[in-house]
Amino acid sequence: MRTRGNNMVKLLLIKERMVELYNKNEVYITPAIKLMLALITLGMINTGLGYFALFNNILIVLAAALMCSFLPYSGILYVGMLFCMGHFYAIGVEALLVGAVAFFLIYILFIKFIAKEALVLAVLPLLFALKIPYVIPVLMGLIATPVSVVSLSCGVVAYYVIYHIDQNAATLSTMSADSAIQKLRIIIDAILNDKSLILTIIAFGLTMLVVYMVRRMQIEHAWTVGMISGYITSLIILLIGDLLFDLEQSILGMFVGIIVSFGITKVLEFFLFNVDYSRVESVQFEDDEYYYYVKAVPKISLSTPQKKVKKINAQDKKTYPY
Amino acid sequence: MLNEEKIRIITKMVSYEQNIGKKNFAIGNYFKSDYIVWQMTKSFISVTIAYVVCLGVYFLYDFEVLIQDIYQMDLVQFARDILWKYIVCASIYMLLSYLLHITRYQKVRNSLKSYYRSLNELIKIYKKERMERIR
Repeated sequence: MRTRGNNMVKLLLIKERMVELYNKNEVYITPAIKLMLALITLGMINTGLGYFALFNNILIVLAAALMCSFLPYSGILYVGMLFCMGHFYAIGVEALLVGAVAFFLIYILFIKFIAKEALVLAVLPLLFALKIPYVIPVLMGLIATPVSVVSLSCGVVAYYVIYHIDQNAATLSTMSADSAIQKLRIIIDAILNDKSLILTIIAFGLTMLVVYMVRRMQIEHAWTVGMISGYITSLIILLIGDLLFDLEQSILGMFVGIIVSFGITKVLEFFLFNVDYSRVESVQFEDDEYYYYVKAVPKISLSTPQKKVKKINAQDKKTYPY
Repeated sequence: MLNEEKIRIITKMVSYEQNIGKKNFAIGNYFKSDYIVWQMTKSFISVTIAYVVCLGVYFLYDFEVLIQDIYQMDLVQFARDILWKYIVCASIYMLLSYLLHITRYQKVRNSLKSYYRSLNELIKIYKKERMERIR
């Protein structure tokens, strides 16, 4: 027991140091994280689609990723969308039209709801490609509000649009240029007839809401209970949907994906639970007497475990009735 | 002599002004009704553009069928169907948008209230300092 407690304190100390390090070097760490994320996103888009030779050029990818590191996180989403459109254009104008319309509708209708969560839209298709998209609804349930259902749904739609365009790329390229409307119908039919799209939106939406409700309950280990309930909800809905619609999804793959996702969420919980990542603020102002150059560093303190002393032979005899 | 309390309050206020405050002040400048009407107008334009784009894709998708049936179709009924679908879509979207913006406005007002509370505290500190100087 004692060793476990000591290990926990060590881990918390490591976390505290990491948060401290982040707060001190936030100016460098945030762009570095953005750069890494942009490189992974653009790299995976190129690996998955890869039809447009210009965007496959490593220099272009590096330049775009470097640009993303100076933009807000939503910059990764917009640059990612641009890369996708480039690849769609290489497949055909029809693919570009469908992709552009889908992205435009997401932008014009929903971006106002999800402005702060634009990154979810960029990351969710990547996690789909890695077969672990289940992380996101659980994570959003832990840290966000029910409005995030919108960003989750948009992410799912974006992934399925990209997926179906990619799946039909070979068919489209063999068709003649005269059959433009036929090509358009192939892509739109593939997207609209895919029942797993609606099923995934329902599963992820409900998962997020279940996690959100459980983690707000006044119970011990609310986050862990929320996570487990969320993954069970995902699994049940996806399995029922699989049986009802005969989707022929790999059930073993789903199980493995959910177990891996649970592991990832547990690791993320360690970094997200009860941590203040508030930034170091450097502000300047003046009054009648002084100029002030203030650097405000957020306080972080690790509460040491309270020692409980149980007194065995120290009872006050006066309290006894005899 | 530096007044630490004053520096603490101003630092928080300046930090607010430079970050989230920028957006909040812009929203807080509106009356509630003006803000909601402005946002609903933008939502109406957005949903109308989105519907027109969807309609365009639908016409392209069903182009051959539409061209074949155009003379046998009840065009008035067809237009009425399109209009009804538009009204339903727009109503749902506008309702969601209304809920979002009314909640957002309330949050911003609360956030600005605490900013102005700090401002009042600061004014009190300045008044106290001035009085001490006069004495």
